[in-house]
Amino acid sequence: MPRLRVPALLKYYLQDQTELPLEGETVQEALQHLTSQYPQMTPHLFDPAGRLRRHINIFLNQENIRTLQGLQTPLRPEDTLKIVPSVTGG
Amino acid sequence: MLTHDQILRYSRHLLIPEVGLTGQQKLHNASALIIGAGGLGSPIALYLAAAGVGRIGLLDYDVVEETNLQRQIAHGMSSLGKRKVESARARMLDINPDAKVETYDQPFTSANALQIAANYDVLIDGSDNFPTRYLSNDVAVLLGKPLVYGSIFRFDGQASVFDARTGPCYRCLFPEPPPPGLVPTCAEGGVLGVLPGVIGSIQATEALKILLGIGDTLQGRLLLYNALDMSFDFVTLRKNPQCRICGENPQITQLIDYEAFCGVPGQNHPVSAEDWDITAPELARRLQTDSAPLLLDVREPHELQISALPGALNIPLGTLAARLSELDSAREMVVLCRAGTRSSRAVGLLTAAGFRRVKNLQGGIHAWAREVDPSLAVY
Repeated sequence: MPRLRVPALLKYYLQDQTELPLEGETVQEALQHLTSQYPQMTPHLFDPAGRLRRHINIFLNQENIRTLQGLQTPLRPEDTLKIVPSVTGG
Repeated sequence: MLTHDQILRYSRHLLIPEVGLTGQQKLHNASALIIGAGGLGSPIALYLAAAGVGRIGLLDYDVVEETNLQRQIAHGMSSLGKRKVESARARMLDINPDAKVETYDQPFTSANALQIAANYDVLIDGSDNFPTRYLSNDVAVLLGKPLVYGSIFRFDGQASVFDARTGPCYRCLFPEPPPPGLVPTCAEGGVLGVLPGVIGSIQATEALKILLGIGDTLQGRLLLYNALDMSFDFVTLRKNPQCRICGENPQITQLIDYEAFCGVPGQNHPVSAEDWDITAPELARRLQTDSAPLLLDVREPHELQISALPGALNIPLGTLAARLSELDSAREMVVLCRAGTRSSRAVGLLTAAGFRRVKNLQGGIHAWAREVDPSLAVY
């Protein structure tokens, strides 16, 4: 089963989990399933029009899904999806 | 040529074949601009000075405060209230009197950034806000200079090297900043004190490698560090052909208004006392009346253990949008947080959601502690 990894910034919307299993054939399906389980996560990933926010990057293993097939990128059981938001602290 | 004293000082560098006398001479002739003299800027400044980088620019317009000392190791008790650039400069010169430290006690803005940055070989982003990060990136792209990036939050750090001449820039990765209020700053969310030490040291390492021309830098890779798991992960960064500043058809050809771009108030757009603000003494008076408003505290639960107002309902800002149904829009409400930033965002969010009787406790629980109840702790 593919897995999701998120930074501390987002784990608070996933009941404090930084790593959890994903369900779905594509990135989009997996994120839809995730946000249906954890609705508080939705505004942090998607804008009100349902588009992935521009400060959020999703990497399939090492590659940004923007350079693959975007949200339609297929997921394999061994894949790890990483959400990388911009952070500003310094 | 290095003097005998300098040869002694840099002995441990001279013993490394990749540095040696030639490399140390390169560092002596090199220059770096550090944007920000805070958490990240502190270790960067100290290590670059110690390493013998000949000329170091240091830019910050803040003063040293007590809350800085948990992580900003360039400063100490003796520099409380002093300008950060002067405090850091004194420490750098104590480590290495040879360092030429050029201080800029001013904000980095579209008006001064190109002129300042043009004088340095490498730019290092140790800032703590999105407008400065986008400005630093755009300056680096327009001047054709490498930018060493680092940012931190709680236990997580990111680092990379951006150089649009040969690879991606910061905008390729993050085309736009998050909407205001969605991503907390360290001042709002906290940061492990050691974290800027780790990420800042990595930035200093990358800057030295760039100046020496050795090794493989983080260009084309983003380092994701997590202190809780003690994990270092890397993802691949690629140039975005649609990037607005370094893509195939750049739309940004000169510096823009970065505060407007990021949707935040800044030097040119100061926050004014809004109609929705209520002062701490006024709130104290209102709470004694029959028509006392509901208190909504939008801080994180662990912050309420430090100080709290009795009877306040706690809904952290990050979850507020999903929990509006718990609130009665007909009831008058006063929103509070630590210093008034998160609560003003919450008021904006509530107002946009149709709440009409919402006020913001100006200055947050800090103002309450100062003006109403000094027994409360300030943090």
